[in-house]
Amino acid sequence: MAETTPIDTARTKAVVRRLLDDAAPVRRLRPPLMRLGLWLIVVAIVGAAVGASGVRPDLEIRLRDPFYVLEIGALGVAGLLMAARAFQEAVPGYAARWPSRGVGLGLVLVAAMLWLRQPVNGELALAEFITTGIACSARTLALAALPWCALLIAIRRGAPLAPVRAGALAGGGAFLTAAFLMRIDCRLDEPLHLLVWHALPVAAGVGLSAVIGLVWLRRWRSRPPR
Amino acid sequence: MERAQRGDRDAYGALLTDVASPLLRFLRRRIADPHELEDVYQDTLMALHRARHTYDPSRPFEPWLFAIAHHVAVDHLRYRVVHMSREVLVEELPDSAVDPSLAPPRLEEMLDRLPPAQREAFEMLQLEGMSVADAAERIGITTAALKVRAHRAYKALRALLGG
Repeated sequence: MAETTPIDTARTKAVVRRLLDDAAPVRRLRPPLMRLGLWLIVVAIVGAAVGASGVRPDLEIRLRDPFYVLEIGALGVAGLLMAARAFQEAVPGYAARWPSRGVGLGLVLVAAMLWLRQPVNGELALAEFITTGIACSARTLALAALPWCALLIAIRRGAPLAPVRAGALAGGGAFLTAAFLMRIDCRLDEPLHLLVWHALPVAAGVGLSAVIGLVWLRRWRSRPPR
Repeated sequence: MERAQRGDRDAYGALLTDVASPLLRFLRRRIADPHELEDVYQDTLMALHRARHTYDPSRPFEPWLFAIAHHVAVDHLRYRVVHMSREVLVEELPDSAVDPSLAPPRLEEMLDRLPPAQREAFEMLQLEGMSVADAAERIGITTAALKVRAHRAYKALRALLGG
């Protein structure tokens, strides 16, 4: 007697019948690169808002410093790479051609190292340190909010198999982009200020985004197909 | 798959038939128990269905398919490990699972205690698996009236079970 495989059972046949009955046309997900391009439009809008509200007064001078250019370039590219990986995470089996996540993390480290070579201003009063810092953190969150939401919603349209990682990458993409914008907005170059009030919101944002990923991005398997 | 994304039922049926054997071979290497294998196979088909809009025809199909299958299998194994760790193994099984004096009454006995109209509603919906509309039509009442009877039956049974 032939062995019954899971393909032949009545239950499996019923499942297949149900899937075929539900075989309505679906709107195909655009390729990750195209989706990244659309996301960059959102980032450009936020960037334009920063430009309109006024960037740091010494930006022109600072842009002549190659270390500053390298630092903000590293932050911007790291944010872009994280966002690109987040879009790829939404497509099952999408293999990245090169270790973009590792390169992104490396660039973050480069930016952090360059922060540490900034001159220390020991005369900064604690009250000023906290008030300016809280304002910077709040501004980082405000700048990240729109790109972050856009990224999470875009990833959820796909089928992220590793929702925590996808969430963390979305947070990394949005908050590193916000950190990049903050460096052309905030006039303070103090290492402690940068590490506490610019870097910590990024780390917290990535953590929070990973939790959102765990809770919200994993639901694609239980929702009805589009 | 491209045609399946456009809603072509026949193409989708052919695809599900084509992927069956390689998918099963892939899953068999990860799941040994035949009952679990059947569950995981069905879960994989459902996941494939829900993710079908993410497939890009310009890219190879197999990595997409097996990434989903791998994810479902790993999810299943993770679920099993978590549940097995909560189970307590005992040396000897007790003679009786529960003390007969404490056991809840059998379903037949509980149904006997229900008013006939409520019992009828319960049996049609839960034991015969009829839809509300069909059951209401059979006994000539409105669907709302049938739902009320069924609801009262559930409430009474819950009370009999001590819930």
